[in-house]
Amino acid sequence: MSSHSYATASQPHNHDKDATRVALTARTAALEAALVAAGVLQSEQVDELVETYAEKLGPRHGAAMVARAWTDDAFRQRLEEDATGIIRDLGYDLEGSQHRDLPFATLRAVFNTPEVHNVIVCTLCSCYPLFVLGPQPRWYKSPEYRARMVIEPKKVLSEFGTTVPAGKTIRVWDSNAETRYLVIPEQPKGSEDMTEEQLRALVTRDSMIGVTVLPDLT
Amino acid sequence: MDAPRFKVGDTIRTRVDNPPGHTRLPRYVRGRTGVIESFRGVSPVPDDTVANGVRGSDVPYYGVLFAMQELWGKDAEPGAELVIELWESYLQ
Amino acid sequence: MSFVHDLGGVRGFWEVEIDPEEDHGFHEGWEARVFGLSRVIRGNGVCTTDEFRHAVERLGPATYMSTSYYERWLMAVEKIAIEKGLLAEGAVEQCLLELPDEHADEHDHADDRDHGAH
Repeated sequence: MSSHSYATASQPHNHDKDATRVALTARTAALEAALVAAGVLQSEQVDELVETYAEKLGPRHGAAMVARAWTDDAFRQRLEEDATGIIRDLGYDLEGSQHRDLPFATLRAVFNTPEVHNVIVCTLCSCYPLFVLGPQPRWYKSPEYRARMVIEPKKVLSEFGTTVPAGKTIRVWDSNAETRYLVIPEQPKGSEDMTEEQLRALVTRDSMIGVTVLPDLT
Repeated sequence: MDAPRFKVGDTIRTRVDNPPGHTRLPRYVRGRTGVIESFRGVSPVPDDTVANGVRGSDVPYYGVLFAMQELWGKDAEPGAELVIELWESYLQ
Repeated sequence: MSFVHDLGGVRGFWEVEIDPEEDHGFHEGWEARVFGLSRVIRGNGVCTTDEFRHAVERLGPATYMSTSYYERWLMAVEKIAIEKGLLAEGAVEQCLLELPDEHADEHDHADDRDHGAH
């Protein structure tokens, strides 16, 4: 971990971190109370939203899409052409769970190949396919990731331990507008005989953002 | 809403500006030449939504591919390219 | 140029900090709550997503660059509610004073980020 992060000056030692956390917890509670008192919202609405995004959504949904794409050519074809249609028809978890309280999402699956490695960023804020991956990792929202991925992607990938071979194109997708992207990693060599359910367990969240690749099975 | 102006493979140039309000056209792609990668759909442009206080009419938007050298110059990291999503009003 | 949130290509940042222990959900309870507040106000028609994003962008360069992601969202929710006439200035501070005891000590730390000792 870098010892001279941009945040060093404002990065408090643990005691101050706790104080900041307590202060922000208090202010958040106060803001919610003020909004409830003003009739702007109800706490139950917030409870439900948080439960959906913290518990019902998560990278297991993206992993299910990847595993199915690896094992089902017709699904893979549809995922290439109409990922949005898939989630509209099958739900975010491919099991009919529509989460109708969620805003409708536009999804594009981008497939890693021997020629192209895809990686996702949002330089302007942190747009991300939460509906198939759950909440973003801290680093995805960080200024350093947002600034650097569009100008030195190979270097940033190396900080994740990912080496892209010479001759392979890195395609960076800046999620600045409507579409959210899901990277479909290459299937690891040695996994060809695994079931779809077994394959799901191989797919990591970071590989679906594109900062890592899945290792071949030895 | 008018028909899309561009099709896949067209060369486009992004607008040059410095808007005082909200935009989803980052400065690093302004005034740059790219290629239409895909037609993606239609929706109101966020710049107008915030400026006018209400969602406007639908405008076509596209995936646009840029070479890294086009964005950052001859010393750009080799072997990389970038795709970003741009409404038609962002294009010259 | 542009508002300071427009970070693509900006120089001077160091390595990405990756925590291998990081789990998949929200990292702090208050962050999850702020996320919820932001989505609910939008769902309730207080503002569009575009307006919300621009409220974050309008926090000012120094504030933007010295605060964490969800702290900016916390500020933006309050900012929008005040701008839309739904909350009075100072309404949140008033609620801070009225919070149950476990929060009451912290109201004077809310804006005092250098203060380490209690």
